[in-house]
Amino acid sequence: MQSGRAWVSYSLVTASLAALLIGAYSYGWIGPDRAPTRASYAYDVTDPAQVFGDAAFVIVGRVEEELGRVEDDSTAFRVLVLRELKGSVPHEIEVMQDGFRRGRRTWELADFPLFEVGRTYVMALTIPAPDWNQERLVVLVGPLDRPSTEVSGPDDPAVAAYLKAVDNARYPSGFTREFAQDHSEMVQAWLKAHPGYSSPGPAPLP
Amino acid sequence: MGAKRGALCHLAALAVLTVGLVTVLAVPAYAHYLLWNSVDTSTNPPEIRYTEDTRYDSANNYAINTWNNLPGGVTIAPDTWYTVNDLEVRDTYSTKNWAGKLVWNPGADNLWYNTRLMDGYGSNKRENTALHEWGHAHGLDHSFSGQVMYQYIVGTDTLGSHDISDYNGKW
Repeated sequence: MQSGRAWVSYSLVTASLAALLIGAYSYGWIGPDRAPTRASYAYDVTDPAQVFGDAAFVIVGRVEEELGRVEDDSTAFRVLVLRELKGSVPHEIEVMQDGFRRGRRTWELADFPLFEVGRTYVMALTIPAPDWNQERLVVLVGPLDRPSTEVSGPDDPAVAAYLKAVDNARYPSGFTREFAQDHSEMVQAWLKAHPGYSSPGPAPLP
Repeated sequence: MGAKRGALCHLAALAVLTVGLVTVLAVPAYAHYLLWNSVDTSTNPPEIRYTEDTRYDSANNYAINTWNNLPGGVTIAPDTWYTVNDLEVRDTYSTKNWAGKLVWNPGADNLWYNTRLMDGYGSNKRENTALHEWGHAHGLDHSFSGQVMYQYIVGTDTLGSHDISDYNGKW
């Protein structure tokens, strides 16, 4: 009888410990620091001309604050705009980038890690989807022609090269004229509703 | 005596669980393999059980059939009430520049199709996207141009020799 009771107790303890382990693992408190996310891109994201052609805005921005996980498995950041390379945005903006942190684990695209507070990046930005926070711009993946989009500041030599790429921006290859037209109209409609922003919009198709 | 044996049994069970977790985490990463996959290796043969709610049934089923038709390896089948769901296939509208995305999760993984891009694609590119993301679900990483696992969607809708050798090497 006594051993039966002990068996039940041990079972309960084991089940509780197992549940604790699984819960801690699921929520990222134990296990690996990094969890993979992989994506297939619509075009060559190592080509700055195509990434900037897709973008409504290109800026050099310093990440001031990480605001946490938001829609579409993304993380929001508050960014101080140090230089505008394409379009015009308010001095301080919020952006959302693919990936998120939970517990001590980070889910992020292997080739495009999450921004870090205090660092400065060249950011290719586009408008949010209609049902997302309309004040928060979306970070496009790229350009991945360098190991990172991080720069030392607005006068980093890489920024000068990116400025040239903005001048040579072209709409990403592989899209139809109709798709590019819809995209452009969507960006123009968003700009109309957001007077603090201006942009030539996505580059026209050749 | 019985209680002591019971305690030992439970400790052993806990140790097995811990060792299992550690083993999963210690899988080495090779050139074109991911550290993770959506495959349930506790079944024989290994399988991916999935649920889907996507408007791209044709491309998604094409991808499933193509991977399933490789000899041996992993079986892909819909989830049932008596199986464990390994992968959820869903659509999302995103202004980001990815057409498809696979997010690993401790429970079921998420395979996303970006409707903004997929709607503008013809069947080749849709199939390319679906094949690619299901390749990730099998634990395959990005590889070369001309392969389905190339990281850009260019309309490659048949598995390349490297896709198949990576698959065979893993499964």
